Amino acid sequence: MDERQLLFKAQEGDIESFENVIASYQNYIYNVIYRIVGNKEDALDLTQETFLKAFVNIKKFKGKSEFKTWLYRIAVNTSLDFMRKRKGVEEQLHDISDFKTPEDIFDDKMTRDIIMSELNKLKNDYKIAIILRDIEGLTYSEIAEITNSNIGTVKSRISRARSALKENLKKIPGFINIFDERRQL
Amino acid sequence: MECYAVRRLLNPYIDEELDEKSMDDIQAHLDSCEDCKLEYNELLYTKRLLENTPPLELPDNFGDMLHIKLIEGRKNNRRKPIKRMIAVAAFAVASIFVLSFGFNFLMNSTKLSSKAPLSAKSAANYSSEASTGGKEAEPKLKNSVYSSLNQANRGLDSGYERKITKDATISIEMNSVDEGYNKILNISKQYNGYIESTSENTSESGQKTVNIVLKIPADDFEYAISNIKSLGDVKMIRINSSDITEQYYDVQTRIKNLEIQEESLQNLMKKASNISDILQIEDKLNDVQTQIDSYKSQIKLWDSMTNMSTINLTFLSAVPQAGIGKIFSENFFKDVLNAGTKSLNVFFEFIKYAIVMIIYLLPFAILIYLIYKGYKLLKK
Ligand SMILES: [Zn+2]
Repeated sequence: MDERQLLFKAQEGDIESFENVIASYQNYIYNVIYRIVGNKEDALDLTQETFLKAFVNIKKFKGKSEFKTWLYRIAVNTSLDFMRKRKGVEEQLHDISDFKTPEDIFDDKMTRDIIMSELNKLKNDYKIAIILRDIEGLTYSEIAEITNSNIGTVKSRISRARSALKENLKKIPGFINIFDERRQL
Repeated sequence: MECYAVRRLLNPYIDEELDEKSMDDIQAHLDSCEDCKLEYNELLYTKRLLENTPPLELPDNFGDMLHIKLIEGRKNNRRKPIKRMIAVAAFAVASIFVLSFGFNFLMNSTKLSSKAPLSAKSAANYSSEASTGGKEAEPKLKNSVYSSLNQANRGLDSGYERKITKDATISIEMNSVDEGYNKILNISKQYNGYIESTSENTSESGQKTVNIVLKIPADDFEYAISNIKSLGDVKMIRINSSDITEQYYDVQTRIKNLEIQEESLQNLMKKASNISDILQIEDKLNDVQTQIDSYKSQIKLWDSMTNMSTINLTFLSAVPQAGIGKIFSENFFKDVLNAGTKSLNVFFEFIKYAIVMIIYLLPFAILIYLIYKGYKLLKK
């Protein structure tokens, strides 16, 4: 059965069909949410919430966009709602100050942590745009649809986000070295 | 192309989101400008860093966890619109009932006639007394709403046993109440029923009253009633029957669904390794089991109600000849009652106009409400 047929059955309330459709998307959705909210526990909860919302509202999916885009949209909105509620309640846990010494070797895990923490410093709109573009590999028009904005806005958000990210990464002592080295490769 | 113009387009260039000509122009500029090339490389490297962040994998039990939530989500989702419909319909019938009851009451008290048929009768239920209690209107309605909504889903097959509860309330006047009681004992034996309770009292005037609650197998209900009716002078009889088939099978389906949930939770429990998961699952499991228990006791109650019907009997001994004092007190009471009715007439006249006004406005109010709901729905 193809996706359209499965979706049709899911709209009739068939849970198994719904589960079949989302099977190929759930890791993507989980990752997007994780990048946006910054920790795994919340990301897991929000991923469940996203799919529950998708299932409960599946009749509202009219097939005008791709189902994947529709899911991303719910995921982004769910994450944003969560961030707004959390805002001010807690500070970001990871801080780059831990990585100050030049002797630090930036292994993969550290690199990942630094990127996450730098992403978290961006404004939500910028962060979401760059995550959807560079980590998820979506096109500008898909991102515009997901974030309910126009392509011009998306273009400028991505541009600013990536430039800001680059500048911030260059400021991290030690990190710049691998930055330079790798760049030359 | 100028450097500043190129810089502004570097990011979309990297993303290949420019038209062909701009792409070519920028590439040409980058080939010849070291500074811009450096900036380009840094941005591209930033993009690669992001691209290379390894994806996380969802935990293995994610599917199970989600499955439970989806089942719940579907349950809640389905029930909501039904609930809303029931609420609207219940309101509509309740208001009609209140109005007709009020009207009926009005007729009764102004004309002092006691037999005005009630218009609100549902197909599945009948009641054979002039004024039945108001409490019954709502469950009856829910019943019929449920049935129309659920029938399509369930598909009534031939093996589908209808669940009907029956009860009766009967008052009979007879010469010897004790003899009546003995006859009831016989009837109860004859139909394999039993007497649930009895009570007896004698008034000051010497009238004896016996109350009996008799349980009779539902199949023999009608026969038993006709036997009882022949025992004396029937002063009042009310027979109720409710078709609870839809509710009954609805609850059974719920139990089945909950049991599926229970099983998958128990499986989850076996797999769970950390304390917080285990506690969470345990909580959920407790919830589910409590729900199952309460639904099961409901089914049990319904089973006993549909297997055995209830007959509430009141036997009155024939009134002994009244003395002079009795007549005086009866007249006195009637006088008071008449005076009261007269003054109430004015009041009811007023109420009548108010009720007529409400009936007149009700369809408009419902129409406006529906338009408002529809508008809200459209706006969504
Ligand atoms: Zn240049």
